[in-house]
Amino acid sequence: MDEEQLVQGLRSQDPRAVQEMVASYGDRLFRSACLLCGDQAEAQDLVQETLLQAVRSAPRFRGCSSVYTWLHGILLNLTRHYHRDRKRMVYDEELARQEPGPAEENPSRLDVEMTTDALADALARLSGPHREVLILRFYEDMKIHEIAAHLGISKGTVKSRLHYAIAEMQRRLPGELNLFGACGTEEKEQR
Amino acid sequence: MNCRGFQHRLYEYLDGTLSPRAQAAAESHLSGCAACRQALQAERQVAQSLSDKFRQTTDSLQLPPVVQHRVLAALADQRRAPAEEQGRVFSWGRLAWPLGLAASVLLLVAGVFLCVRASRPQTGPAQPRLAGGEVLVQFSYVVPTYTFRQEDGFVIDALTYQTNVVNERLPAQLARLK
Repeated sequence: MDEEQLVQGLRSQDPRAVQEMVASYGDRLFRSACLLCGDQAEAQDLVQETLLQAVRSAPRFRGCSSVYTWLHGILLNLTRHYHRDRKRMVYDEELARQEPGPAEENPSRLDVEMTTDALADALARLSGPHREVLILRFYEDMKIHEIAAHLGISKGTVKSRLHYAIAEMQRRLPGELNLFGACGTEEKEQR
Repeated sequence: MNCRGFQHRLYEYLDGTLSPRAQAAAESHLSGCAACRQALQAERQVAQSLSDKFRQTTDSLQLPPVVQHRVLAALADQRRAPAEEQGRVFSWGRLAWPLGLAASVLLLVAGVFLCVRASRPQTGPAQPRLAGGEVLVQFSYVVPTYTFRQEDGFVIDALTYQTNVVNERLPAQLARLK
């Protein structure tokens, strides 16, 4: 089933098209969601809700972007709500006292599953907007103008967020994981 | 193009989205600037490193099959729901308004009939006589009101009655009382 047939099938709510959509994009969305929210169980819920929303709104999908970009847009929106809700929870004093500390203390966090705990920790400490551009750029391999269009922000904002996010990742990642490879320490020292 | 200009367009250079003219200017600047070549190399390494790390940490993750089952079940519900809803709306759409109109006409006729009848003086027990050959006549009539309202997709009708009482002093002769 090619992209056009998939879109037609989704619009007419054909179960085979929905099955194809989940099979083709489910894993990729799930991995992106894990990086975005840092929690596998939450990522699963977010992807499920993304797919459900896609099924509901498919008849209105105009096909201006690829199916994956459309799905990822829904996922991003849901992830922002997720982060907003979490932030609201932390502001609640009672809950804040019970809230587990940073990433390494929470057993359900993605870092338990990740091969690199430090990467998950560094990602979790970035703000939502900085994490988004970093993942869109280096996981989704999007170009600057594509990220700008996807997030509805200017290219300048994308570049400045990206610059800040990379600097933060470099600062937080331990020496052996530095982003400059084998000669990274030297490079970092020069800076 | 100077160093600042190149740094400003570094991401677009990496993306290959510069205009041919800007691309040529960037290439020309790079050939003579070791610092910008180093910055470009560093940016490529960062991109490669982050990309590799993201993939290494997520490659083994797979969406649990239960999600697909839930989405397909939701789709089946969604396909069923509009048909049921449509059926309900159609039956009301076909029946509610003609029935309501017919009931309104019927009640209007009944209302007019009752009003005319009520406007006639009642014959009953002796009317109280007043001084000066006048009598107190009491008229009473009932006004029916039939209303419709929509609630949760249903049309709900209601019939209410209002009794109006009017007291009038009339000359005995006019009231044709014995």
